[in-house]
Amino acid sequence: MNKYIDALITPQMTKTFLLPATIWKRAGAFIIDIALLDIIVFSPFKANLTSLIAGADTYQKAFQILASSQETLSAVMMASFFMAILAIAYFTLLEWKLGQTVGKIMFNLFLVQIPAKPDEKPSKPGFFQVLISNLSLVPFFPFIFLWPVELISILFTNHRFMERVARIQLVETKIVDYYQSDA
Amino acid sequence: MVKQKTNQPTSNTLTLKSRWLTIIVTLLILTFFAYLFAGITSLFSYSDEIVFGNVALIKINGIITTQEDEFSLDDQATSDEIIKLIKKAEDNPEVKAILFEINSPGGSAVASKEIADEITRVSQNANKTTIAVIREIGTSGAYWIASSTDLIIASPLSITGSIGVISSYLEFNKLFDKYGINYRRLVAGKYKDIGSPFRNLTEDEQKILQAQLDSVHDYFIKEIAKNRNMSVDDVKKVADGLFYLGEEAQKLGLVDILGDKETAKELLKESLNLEDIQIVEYKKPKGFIDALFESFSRQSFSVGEGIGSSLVNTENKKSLIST
Repeated sequence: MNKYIDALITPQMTKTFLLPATIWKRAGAFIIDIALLDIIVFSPFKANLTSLIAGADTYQKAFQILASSQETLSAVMMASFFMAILAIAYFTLLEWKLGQTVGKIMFNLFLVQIPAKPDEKPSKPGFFQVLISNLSLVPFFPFIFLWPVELISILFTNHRFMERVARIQLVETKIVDYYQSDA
Repeated sequence: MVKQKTNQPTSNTLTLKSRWLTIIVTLLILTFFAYLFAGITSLFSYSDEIVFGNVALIKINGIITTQEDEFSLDDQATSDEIIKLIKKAEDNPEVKAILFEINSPGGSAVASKEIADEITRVSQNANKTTIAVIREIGTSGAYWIASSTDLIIASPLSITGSIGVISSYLEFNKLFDKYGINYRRLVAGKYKDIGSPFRNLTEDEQKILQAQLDSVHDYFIKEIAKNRNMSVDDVKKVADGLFYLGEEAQKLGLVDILGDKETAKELLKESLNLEDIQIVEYKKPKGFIDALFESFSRQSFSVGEGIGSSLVNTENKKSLIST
């Protein structure tokens, strides 16, 4: 039977599937989140540090000079620590409350808790689960060793290593329309 | 599952509203903490020696001493601090030259020698050009320091020279006599209280002190001769303690070029083949309280500037304050 005629006589059905987020959508969401963090969280640090350096017109120059001096290295470390804390707070709070960040909303991605049993429905992740999954954002030893691990894990399994540890997964929804025929 | 669509607000649209509200509140909280933490960080990183440029400027203002007198209101240039700044400039690979801006009548011979030796070391070992620019005054110990640089620039009206040594003090013995106060001398060692202001110097003691001053003077002359590539005899001719104006000092070989900081910049541009000269001042870092005070001052200035500009730039462009 012609499927268009079939559609007229049978109700349209949809099924929502949860699929692991593709690497491109992950990357896109992350870029949007970092851009937002850059404007809201990092810009006060950049402005403050740049204003301290006479002659340094860019943040990169200022950061380079600050990091090269023993006296000010601790200030750079402190700024990096605070920026990392705030970035982790951004990801953790939003992912805990909504299961999404702004970037993830744009790409229709969200985090779910991996069900213990196959027949259970995925649920929203807990606070500590998202916190653990975001520890890889800490730019200090020993967490920096997680960066290559995370990259390899995403490239080969489409699942971040720390998400795997926290038993959560970033997913996207796939809605499939179909027509049920009685025949 | 059949998808139902209605025009009434559903729980989904309410969730959407609360979702964006959560996002906005979270971002506002994060912004607040970002400014707070950035403020804290800037207090800890507030240090004026954090500079970017290819020429370091170190000012030598006031009396040259080995240790800072915290109760003195006068400008002081302590050798410890100046040496620290020189080392900082030496450690910065971006810095190609060090400019010493001198405005000092001199001071301690030991402190002057310490600074001069450090400048000589940096000139020779670190391959950094050193230039002294004498502003109003650069005499005695300050001139000793200037002489250790590669080049001395002074204004035609700068006061310089005064290559001599002084060790004078007030004697109170006659004042004591007037008020009936006696100085009871108890010493173990004949010259232990030599130079005591409570009694007159003996002829013998005066000879000893004078000999010591002469020794320091001789040393001073030899150092100037060595630093300026002059003969000791030539330096002796101008080392009578007299000061000279810049123009005369140039004729006597005590100053190389007449000019100012701009002259130094032009010379450095040519000699170091640099496109742009960025002079940055190296100075003693501020303490936490000073930095905090300055931070508040800057904030107050910004607030005042904002109020001022709102008064000046009114909507109808009518200025409340006019010049």
